[in-house]
Amino acid sequence: MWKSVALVAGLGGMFGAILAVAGRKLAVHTDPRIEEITNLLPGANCGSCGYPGCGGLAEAIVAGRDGVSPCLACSPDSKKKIARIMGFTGDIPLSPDLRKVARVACNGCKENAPKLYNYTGIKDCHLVAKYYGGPGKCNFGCLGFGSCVKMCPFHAISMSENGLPVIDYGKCSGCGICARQCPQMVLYITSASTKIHLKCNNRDKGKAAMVDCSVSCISCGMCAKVCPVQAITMREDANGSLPVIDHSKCIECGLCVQKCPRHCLHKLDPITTEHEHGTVATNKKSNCTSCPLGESCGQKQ
Amino acid sequence: MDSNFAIIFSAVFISNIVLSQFLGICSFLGVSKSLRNALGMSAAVAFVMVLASLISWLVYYLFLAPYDLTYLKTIVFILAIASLVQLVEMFIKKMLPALHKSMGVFLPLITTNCAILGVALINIQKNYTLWQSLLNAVSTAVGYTLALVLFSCIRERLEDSDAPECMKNLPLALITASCMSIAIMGFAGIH
Repeated sequence: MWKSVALVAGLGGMFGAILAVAGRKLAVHTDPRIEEITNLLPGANCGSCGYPGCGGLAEAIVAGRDGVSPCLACSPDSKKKIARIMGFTGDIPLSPDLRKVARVACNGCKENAPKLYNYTGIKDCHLVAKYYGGPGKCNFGCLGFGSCVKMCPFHAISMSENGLPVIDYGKCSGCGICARQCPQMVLYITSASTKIHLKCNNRDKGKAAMVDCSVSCISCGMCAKVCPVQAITMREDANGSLPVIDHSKCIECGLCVQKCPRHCLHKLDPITTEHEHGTVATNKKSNCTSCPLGESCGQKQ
Repeated sequence: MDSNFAIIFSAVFISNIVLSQFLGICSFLGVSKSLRNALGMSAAVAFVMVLASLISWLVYYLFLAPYDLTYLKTIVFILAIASLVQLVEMFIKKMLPALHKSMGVFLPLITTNCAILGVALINIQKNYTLWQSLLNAVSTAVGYTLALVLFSCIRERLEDSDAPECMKNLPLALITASCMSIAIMGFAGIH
């Protein structure tokens, strides 16, 4: 028995000694700030900052190659803490305008957008988009198969009963992954404080757009005409025509929203501190959160 | 004594480490959600498997066999493999940071993987020479890669399938694994 005890103890001691020596010899000195900053970053590794994951950005911050600003998902509080770690003292001004969120530029819910055919295949927007531009009549709108839901690293998107994605602004960080991968380019990233939004992506004109959906933009140009500060311009190019809102000029008077004959311009609640990072939004009124009619339409799913 | 070809064919197909001997199931189910991770894990397993076979063979024939302590092989192998992997991880972290970044997360995972210990013990059980042990380790790693890559491809496809809610993810993965295992069982008896 002593033989076995001695052998195991001897081998254990030997391996331990080798590891101890190796630990000394091969030690890699990493800056402890890298780990601290990595812990403060959102940890979603979404890659919007341009670095390979949150660890990559933390290394760049510590090395002085970049600031914390490329991180879109980081809360102002964490940004302040990171600034403190990096040795900034005094007041750190952080504008609330910095926050970006994703918005849905489509309102083609099941009632609004007529169907061309029924689709019963694999539920993936990228795949569906290849079959005559999706089952809906409108070739530009949301396909409703929830590829954005799967991609969102913050689990902020869910599909509502009416077939449109609903974004939980308590979780949305504006990383832009949904906007980049949406095959219809229906999702876009915008400043959280903006109010007037075009909830349509239809680039056809006139009758062609009108038959697609009951709330489609027909490019009539009414919004551009009535805008008192010329914040809306009609953009026409090879991709079709759509009004473009210049949020730096927009005074949020809401005239365009009233005049739009197709009800595709909306005045939406700005995303404020009420929807702070990490808290779950509580102002969910009905299932039709993406619908302008909200509770007043009476059609409950 | 087996011929080299017999060792290779047996380790890759007939007694595939995952699908026929049911070793290393935890990593098989855990890291097979995407092909990318599966490939990284397979590379790390192959690397550690060869090293573990080498060290365990040396420990067995240098320390255990001469003193009639072969019954201690399991515990001594665990000790040897765990410290070896630690050492290798330190070494890679220092010398090859890029490799450490891509493979580093998998290394601690497989320190005590039963597939690694399994190969070390099989080598001793079958009285393989050092060369045969290494060959067996490499071919077992190829078998593991084969199983993991095929499995992860199937799982990636199943992700998009319209499966009933109760069958999604793990239940479906387990059924897939059993089907693959049955397919591999077709090789049994060829030996």
